[in-house]
Amino acid sequence: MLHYTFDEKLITITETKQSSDVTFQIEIHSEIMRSRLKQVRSFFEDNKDYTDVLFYSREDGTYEVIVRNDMITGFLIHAFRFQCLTSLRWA
Amino acid sequence: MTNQALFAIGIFLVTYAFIISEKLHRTIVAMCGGILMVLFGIVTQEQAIHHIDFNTLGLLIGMMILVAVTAQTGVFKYVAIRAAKAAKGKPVRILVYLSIITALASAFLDNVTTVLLIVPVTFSIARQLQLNPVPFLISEIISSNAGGTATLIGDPPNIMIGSSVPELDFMSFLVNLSPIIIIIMAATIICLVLIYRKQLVTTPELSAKIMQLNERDEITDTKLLKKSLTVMALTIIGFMLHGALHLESATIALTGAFLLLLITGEHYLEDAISKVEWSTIFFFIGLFVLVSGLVETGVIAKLAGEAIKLTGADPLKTSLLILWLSAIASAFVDNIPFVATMIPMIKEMGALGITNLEPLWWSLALGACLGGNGTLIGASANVIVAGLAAKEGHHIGFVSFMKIAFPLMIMSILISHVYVYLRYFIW
Repeated sequence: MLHYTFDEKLITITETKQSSDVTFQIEIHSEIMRSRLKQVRSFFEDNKDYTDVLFYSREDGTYEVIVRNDMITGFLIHAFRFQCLTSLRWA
Repeated sequence: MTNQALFAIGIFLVTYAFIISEKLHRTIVAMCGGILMVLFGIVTQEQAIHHIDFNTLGLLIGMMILVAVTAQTGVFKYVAIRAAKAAKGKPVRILVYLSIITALASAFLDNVTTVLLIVPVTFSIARQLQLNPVPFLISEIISSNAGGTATLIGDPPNIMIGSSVPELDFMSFLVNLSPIIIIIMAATIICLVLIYRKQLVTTPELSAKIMQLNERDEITDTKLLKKSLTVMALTIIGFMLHGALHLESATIALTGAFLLLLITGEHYLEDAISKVEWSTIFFFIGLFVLVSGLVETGVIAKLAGEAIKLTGADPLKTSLLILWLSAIASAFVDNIPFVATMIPMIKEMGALGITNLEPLWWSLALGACLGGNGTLIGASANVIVAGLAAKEGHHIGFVSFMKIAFPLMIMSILISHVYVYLRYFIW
């Protein structure tokens, strides 16, 4: 299982597990982080899998990201790659 | 019948059988069939090239480039989310709105492109509402085939008919086909709502989540959006005027495509060119050459003669025969090769005594395009959506699709039957 940390000054992430996926509620506190998250979004929206990672942008500026169970590792790796996370390690 | 004609029929039937069996990619089969026609000397290379309809190919390539660039702006996701919010997050209303959007988009873009743009956002909306996406996907398949019937550029059979009959311009298609398609779409949507209303139930909390979505965030490039929509609008105006301007539809589409690339810069060129479905383009080339073998050896003229004998050269009987034959055939085989065969046959019927061919052309367009809704293999859009759904874990079975779609297809052809009869033979 992957354990991750993030810079709370820039981003807040909370997660809720369902049977087949995990929902990440993401609050952004800086524009730099918003553009980084957009890079993560663009990466998953450009692939040919339409339900692996679903991004929902809300009117209040927050994001909901629904990640299929088999794609959680991939999602966290790319969130780390685009510097939305500060660390990522196997727990 | 000459030996050459028998060879041509043999190559045609074997090729057709391989296309239907789907054992090999249809493009490889069609190209091999076309090449055999030349290798066996049934047509010369010059005759083969003469039979390739470059207007159809140019129109398809131009529109594919235009859509490839426009899709990068996120405008299609914006429209779908806007529609879901206009529906107040209520699933039945969302089904109706997405069906209408799909039909409208399919009228001006090709069906496959339309479903490729609408399906991902459909998955997203259905997941947010915790609903099975299949009812939405089936409604979108049916709407894309119906919507594509309304215009010259909406569906490959219409592109081929419009390209072969110069007097049938964009406005003729719009005036003759769009009124009946509006009626068919209304009837189809009512049936879909009745079929799916019990499955499409969600909670007020989930509907409220749809209302909180920010559709403006889907627009990725505002400058590109403005340029794309301007060029798209100019291209559609160009289609409306192409008859008066004495320009072929391919000229309009390619002008639009390269005008957009000119003002957006070469940054988009490679990507746009790579997104042209070259396998579809070569499929058309193969078919045109394949059918040329039947034309040059007189097989098409003979078939047309037999059809005329069957209907007694009566335009009404011939129109209705073409309508129903096209619909049933298109439900089970690809409508593109079917229409490629029917076009020279209808032209031949003109030479054999039917003076007004117009009802025959509209019957072919309605039958071939709407017939594609009959089964899961009836049209490219059906196969593509079923494939995408299966990949995401939502199986659309051949029989389960047919149970919903075949009766709806028959209903649409019955409405078309009444329309053709009233509009072209009574009023």
